[in-house]
Amino acid sequence: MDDRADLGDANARRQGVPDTALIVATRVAAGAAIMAIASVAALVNRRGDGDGDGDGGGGNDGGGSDGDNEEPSEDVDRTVRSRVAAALLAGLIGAERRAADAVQEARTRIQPVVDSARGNPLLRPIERLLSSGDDLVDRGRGDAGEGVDQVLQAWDTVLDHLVRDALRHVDVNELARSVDVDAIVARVDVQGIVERVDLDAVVGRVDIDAIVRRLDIADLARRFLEEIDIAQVIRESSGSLADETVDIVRQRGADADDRVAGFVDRILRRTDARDTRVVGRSPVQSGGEAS
Amino acid sequence: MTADRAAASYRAGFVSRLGAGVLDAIVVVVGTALILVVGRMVAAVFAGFAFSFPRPSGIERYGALSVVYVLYLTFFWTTTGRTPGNYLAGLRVSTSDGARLSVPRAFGRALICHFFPVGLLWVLISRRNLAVQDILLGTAVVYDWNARRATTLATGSSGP
Repeated sequence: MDDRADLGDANARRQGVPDTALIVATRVAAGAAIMAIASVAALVNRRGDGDGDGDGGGGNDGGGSDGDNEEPSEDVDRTVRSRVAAALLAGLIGAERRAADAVQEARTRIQPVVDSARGNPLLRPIERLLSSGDDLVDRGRGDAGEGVDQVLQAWDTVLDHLVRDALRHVDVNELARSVDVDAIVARVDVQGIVERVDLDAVVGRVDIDAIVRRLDIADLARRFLEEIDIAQVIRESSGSLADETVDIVRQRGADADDRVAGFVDRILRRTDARDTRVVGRSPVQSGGEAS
Repeated sequence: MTADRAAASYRAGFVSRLGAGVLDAIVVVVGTALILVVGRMVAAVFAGFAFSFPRPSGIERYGALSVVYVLYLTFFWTTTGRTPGNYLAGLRVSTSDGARLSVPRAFGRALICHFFPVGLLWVLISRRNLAVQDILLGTAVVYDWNARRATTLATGSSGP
């Protein structure tokens, strides 16, 4: 590209305006080359598609079980051809792009010269030729793009076939048999998993209030109280407790009475016991209050 | 009302009777104070007096306490035969033959108990556990809270 650009530039500088003809001729040649390349690429592509379809069909018809085995190799064959074509095409497209860029560069540099020469009746045919050359370049580019698309499509198809063929040879059952499930299970750290489970969080999500609501606590308590005579229990316990306390006080008092009486009697040198007995109607009976 | 059944009771000693008397005195003092305060409140509400806590003079205080105490003793001795203090000490006041006191005898005994409390000290000396008021009015203070225990106590105390 740079070479050509330098060449065009040098020519333009050396020969001036008349060199426009040389540039136009270069463009025309480049356009023609691109068209030819694109045509060849399209031709190769089309031929490859046609061969693949035809051979594959024949194999299936005649070979029966062999057809399956032949098909992949033919696919591969076609793939190789397609790839060669694609590589060729890519190279050609690259060359075309470089040529087109060189032409563009040259055109940009020459434009001032062309502009100055515009209006000269002698140069009009050359101008016409120049513009027609641009058209050719554009058309060539379009064809090349189309060719690239076709090549990429073919490549996708080849890949698809290859993968499917590979999978057909894989025996999944054999694979499964070779897998040692016990070893895998042994490697699973169940304890670790259990430890990672946050039981507190799980329990925290349990709605205990809802459970309690479903239990009829009041009814439960009522039935419980019906079973035991709570009033009787309270009566007995508190009554006996109070009685016990009062009895202790009374007992202490009576003991103190005896000690004090005994002390006084010793001081008074009495030898016979006090006569504290009261014989008569029982004060318990005569008193209204039962003790 | 009077079951003519002979039953053995034992006159109580000095400590039980002193304790009962102290308890009764406390009850009467607190009760009198409450009566005075509540009476002032009622008077303030219904008669329009300005309420203030009562500050009785010494004589007023002694007079009020005396009246309440005598009435208190008389009331309980003639009705149940035992004041609250007697109840806690397990005592009952009766005539010497075990009958309940009449109002005059109870009133007289209450007066003696109040104005001559040292009469109780005779219980220490008396061979029959009698105080001065018991001798004068023919009364007795007996254990009356558990026949079995009282018997046990009496037997123990009456041993030689």
